[in-house]
Amino acid sequence: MECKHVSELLPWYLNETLPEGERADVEHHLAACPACGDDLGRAHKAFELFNQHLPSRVLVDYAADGEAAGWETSLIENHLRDCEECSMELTLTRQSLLQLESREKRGGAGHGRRFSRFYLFNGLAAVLIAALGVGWLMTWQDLQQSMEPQAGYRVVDLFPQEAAQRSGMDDKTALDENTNGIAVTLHSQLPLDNGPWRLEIRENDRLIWEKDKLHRDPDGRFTLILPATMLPEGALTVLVYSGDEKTASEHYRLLLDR
Amino acid sequence: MQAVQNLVHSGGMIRTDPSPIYMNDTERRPSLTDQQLVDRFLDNDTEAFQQIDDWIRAASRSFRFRLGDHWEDAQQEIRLEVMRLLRRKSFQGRSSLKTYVWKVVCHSCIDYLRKQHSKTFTTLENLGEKEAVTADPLDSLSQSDTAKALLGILQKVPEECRNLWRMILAGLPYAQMAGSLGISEATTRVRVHRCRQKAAALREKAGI
Repeated sequence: MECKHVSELLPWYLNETLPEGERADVEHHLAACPACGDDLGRAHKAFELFNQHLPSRVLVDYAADGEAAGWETSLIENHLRDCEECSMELTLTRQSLLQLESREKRGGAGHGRRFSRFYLFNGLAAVLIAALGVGWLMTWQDLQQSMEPQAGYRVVDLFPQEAAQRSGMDDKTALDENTNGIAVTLHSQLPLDNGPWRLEIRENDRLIWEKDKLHRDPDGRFTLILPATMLPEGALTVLVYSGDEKTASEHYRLLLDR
Repeated sequence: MQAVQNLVHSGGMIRTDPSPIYMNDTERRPSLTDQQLVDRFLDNDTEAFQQIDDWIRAASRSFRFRLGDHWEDAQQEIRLEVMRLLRRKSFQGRSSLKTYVWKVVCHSCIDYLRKQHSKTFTTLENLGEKEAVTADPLDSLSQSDTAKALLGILQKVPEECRNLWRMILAGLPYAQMAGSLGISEATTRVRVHRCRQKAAALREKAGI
């Protein structure tokens, strides 16, 4: 590994998101190269800076009082605008206060426990009745919907590329602005026992979507629901394979027309 | 201590014996001051434990989803932390006991969340020993000052750099970063490197 390459990988090395092999190579190089060792020190300084968050004390004080002792409010608010993690933690902290207050308003623990069985049984009965009602409604709606095509989704059956070409099945799937997504069924001919299966969707060499541990039905088919906004127009390649070495794989072609 | 063990083992749901002090809730709530509650808590009173444990559970509920399987463990740690702090007489009565417990719960939950997601950094010196130190333990006052200074510097870094590094911290590779920014991969590499140098230089200038 060259110094330049190692230097480029340092942010991900520090972030622990390098693949194991690459990480080992970087460590091996760092142990032998003092110049890159210095570079690691500088990269760590940058990493620490960019990975800086508000201390939990400051977040909790800010959630409670809108300020924190010894801290400029503008600094806190500027950071909160930038940092999703701190912002999420602040939201959770505020929710926590609301939950505590609402629990107290309901009468606290002892009081609540006294009535909890009453509420629990009545609540369960209400949920059961509601579930039965919703179940009946959904069954009725399913019956209605099964008689007409589902609006907003295109249903696409894909066969392995070679089989599709042999039989001349290379139809375009039309998407319009009302299409929410496509439901794709891959009629795989791969052996059933070679899982777990992974899937990649590419436009030329650009990876658009990937998924691990793909579910397969007993007939060997894979089913995917893909949001329309995610998919570009044109020819996409769908690759299904098992194992890192792609020991068993199949290509599918998905043609989209907007 | 028996009451503590009962709480720890049962999540605070089982009462060992009826309290001789309180006849009912309406009698208990208005009559007890925070300090009395603390004293009884430290005196292993089951009702006092129950009250504080209820606050802990209510306050930590919003973190439940984020903590996932660790929620129960986090609660146990919080119970022990509250007990430790009250034994050390850290509660001074500046706010109500409920607010104090809420703050301890939120502190602990945030720190627990961060501990779960914190990255470890292997220094060059201990590469061979495979030892690691956590990157972000901000407990002491001096560390809090350092955090304040670093956040001040971070605000001076151009927004473009902060965005780039946000993607790096999310684990995106160069190719995906380039795709998302609409620039070439080579340009992304150069920008990341420049931002790194800029950040290191700003820290050096500030002497941190």
